[in-house]
Amino acid sequence: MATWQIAVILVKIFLIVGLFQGAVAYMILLERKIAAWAQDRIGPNRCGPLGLLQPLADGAKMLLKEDVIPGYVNKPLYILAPAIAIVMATIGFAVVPFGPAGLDAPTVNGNPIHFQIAPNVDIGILYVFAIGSLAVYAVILGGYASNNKYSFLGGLRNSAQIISYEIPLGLSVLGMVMLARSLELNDVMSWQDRNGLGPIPAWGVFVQPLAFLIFLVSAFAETNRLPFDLAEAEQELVGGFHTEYSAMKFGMFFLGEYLHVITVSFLTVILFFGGWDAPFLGVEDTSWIAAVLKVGVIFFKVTLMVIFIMWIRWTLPRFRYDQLMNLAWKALIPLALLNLVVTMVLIQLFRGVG
Amino acid sequence: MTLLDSRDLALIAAIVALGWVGIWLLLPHRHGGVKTARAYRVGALLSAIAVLLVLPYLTPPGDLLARLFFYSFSLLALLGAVLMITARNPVNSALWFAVVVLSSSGLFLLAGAQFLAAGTVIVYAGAIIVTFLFVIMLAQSHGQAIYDRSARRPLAASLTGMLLLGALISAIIAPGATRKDGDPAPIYSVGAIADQPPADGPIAAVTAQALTETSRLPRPLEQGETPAHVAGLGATLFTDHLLTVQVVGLLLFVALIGAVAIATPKAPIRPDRSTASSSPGSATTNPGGVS
Amino acid sequence: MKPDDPNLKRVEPPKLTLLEKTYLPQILGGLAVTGRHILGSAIGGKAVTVQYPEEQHVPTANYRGVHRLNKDEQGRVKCVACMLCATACPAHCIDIVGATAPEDWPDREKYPESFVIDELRCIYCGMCEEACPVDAIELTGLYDITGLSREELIYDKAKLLSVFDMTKDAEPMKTGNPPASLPVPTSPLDPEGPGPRTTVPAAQLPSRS
Repeated sequence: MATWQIAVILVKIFLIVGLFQGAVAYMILLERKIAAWAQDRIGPNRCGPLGLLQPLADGAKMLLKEDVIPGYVNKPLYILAPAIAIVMATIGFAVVPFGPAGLDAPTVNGNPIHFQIAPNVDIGILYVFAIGSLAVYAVILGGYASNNKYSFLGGLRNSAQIISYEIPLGLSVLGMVMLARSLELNDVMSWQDRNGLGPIPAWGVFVQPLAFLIFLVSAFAETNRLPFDLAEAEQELVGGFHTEYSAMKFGMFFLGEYLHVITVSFLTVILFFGGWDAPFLGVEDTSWIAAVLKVGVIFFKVTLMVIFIMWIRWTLPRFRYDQLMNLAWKALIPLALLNLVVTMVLIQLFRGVG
Repeated sequence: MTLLDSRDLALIAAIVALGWVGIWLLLPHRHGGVKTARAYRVGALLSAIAVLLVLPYLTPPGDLLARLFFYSFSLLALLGAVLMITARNPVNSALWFAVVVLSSSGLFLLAGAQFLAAGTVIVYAGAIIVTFLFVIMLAQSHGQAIYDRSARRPLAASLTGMLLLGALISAIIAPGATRKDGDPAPIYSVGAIADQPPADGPIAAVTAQALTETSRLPRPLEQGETPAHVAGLGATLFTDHLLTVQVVGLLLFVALIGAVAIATPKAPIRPDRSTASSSPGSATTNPGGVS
Repeated sequence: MKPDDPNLKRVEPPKLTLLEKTYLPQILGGLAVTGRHILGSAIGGKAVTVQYPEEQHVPTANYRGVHRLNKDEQGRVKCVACMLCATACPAHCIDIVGATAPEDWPDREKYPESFVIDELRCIYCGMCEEACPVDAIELTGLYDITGLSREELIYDKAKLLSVFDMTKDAEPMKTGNPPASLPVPTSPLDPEGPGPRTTVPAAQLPSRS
């Protein structure tokens, strides 16, 4: 591997990590704003114009607070848990394309510049799922190491929830994967761009509406957001797995949760809303202007998705635990299997035509 | 298989002996008793020497960066394995198992088996070990039981394990066990199938037909890009190993039904003696219940 | 009522249609409601927030804030040290030391030599206001009392009277004395009857409006 390639990858890593961690700070501001608006309030508006400096104040508060480690915790695991949370949330971005990559990437002197940290990873979306399934360690270890019954219950609830919802999550994606004939997210996006009936693009939400719903519900459960935030249910579990955490350790859990939201929004946009696909942007257009436009389009869609996730949070109440499990095992998994089988049959039937 | 030369034999014997004693010293006491710190220190030293002796048998991939990753993952996997069996807290054991699984999938990635790596992480680290942790944590609500703190037959167990390791190493390094560069590729390796021309026979016919449709290979490969692993793997699984896949599926299905049958609460075969005698109402209404 | 009572009406939960079972229409309805609120307060300016230090919240007329000790038209404290408020107080935060009234106060026998309310202990229930026979103690609309120590928030008579001076224009006394036509209950502390007190409401009535 040439040195410049490694340099490009490092630059992309720093860019993405910095960008998304900064984005998380402003997502917290956005979440507080949306929470306020949904409750007919104004929200943070004191720190800087429109409260735009509030994230800096929040970050400073997190960093400067006293970092209490209770005396009775399992110390190595207690310290490890938030680190796992943030690491797993961050390295998931390695295969998420934030612009044209692979064959559609713009070139410099004949060398393609991929808008993706690790282009051409064959397993693409499986990698994201693998990393996502590791994120449960943060919660279960945080709950166990805290030596607190509330934390422990939160950790147990969360691990069972994440294991259950990984199944419909994976099954719902398979339909799009079969249509695009690739696990790589680039290929899924370019398939959505290349196909379609006239002006209507073949976005996943149109060709796989049921899978889209299942994916959305499971993704909410995977990110631990309302209405599936039983692991941290404030009213029952006093915050759940992060009850005993303070200062930046708590902040790291927080950061991890919001990074997860970004990942999930990216996945939803890429799989079901065409990624960088817009009516005026084709997959053949590999110029730099088109590349920048595509990055803009995908970030715009992701922002809308993030706002939607926050909007849902302030709309729906929390599920009860048995309802949560029933939803996954009795509704989502059979529906996902049905969707999978129907998709398979249709693909096999129309293969000769298309 | 020809005999190993004496240097290898001596090295393998040393690995087995050192590892045996070292791990025996590191393992918890048979009856959960206390061991001195010196025993643990000596055990750790001997095991570390045994682990270092294994290193020459590892063949790292070419690149410096890849080599670095290879040795880190290997050492982490070995260290995690030793710590997993010697940890006295079952939760720590499960976590070290997760470390072993993650390091192994790192090695899989280096070997180019991306799907295997992701599958290992998803299935083992993401689901099975989490379930282990779940059960262990629930069972530990009253502190650690005696069976958590003691090792059963540590001496024999560690010897068996190390002998197996020795046998494995000697089988791997024995001349003729590995394919040389000049040898023809194994017929069912994933990469070879795609290149194979359609041949006679049902398997080859199915393979040739299926591969062009299910892989995304029609587009030209980029410089340095490897062919689609997942498509090739799927093709191999559902052509060459179709029977295996079916049998494993059936086995898992039977296991699932068994689990459901065990988990379903059923009426007791006969009423419990203690409840029957303690409540007079049930004893009178059900006189034949106490047998 | 027994479970088999014939008057007991059993209500079956309504059967959900297939569409309702997916909860999707309800979720969309909920999203519409929150969306309306979000857009309303983000764009439409419908937020109910009061920007406190710049904008002062005006509580309703029956708000119960800091106490005040009312003065009569001669500037004297109206309190007659009857101890009814201190007795009625559920938090025991009122401490009154009564003394014989000065010679030139013909309308009462006693007056409070010291009148202390612990504003931190008070639960602002308004019982003292209800109990007072001479409407001397009242709760005002002041809600932003602060202090750097607990002692600062133990209000003595001078401070309570100054609260009256502060708030008398914004909040005239809520209840004057009852009109003379009504029978006035006699109390052991006020054996002279309503006679002298009828002068007070006449002077006060105009300011009540």
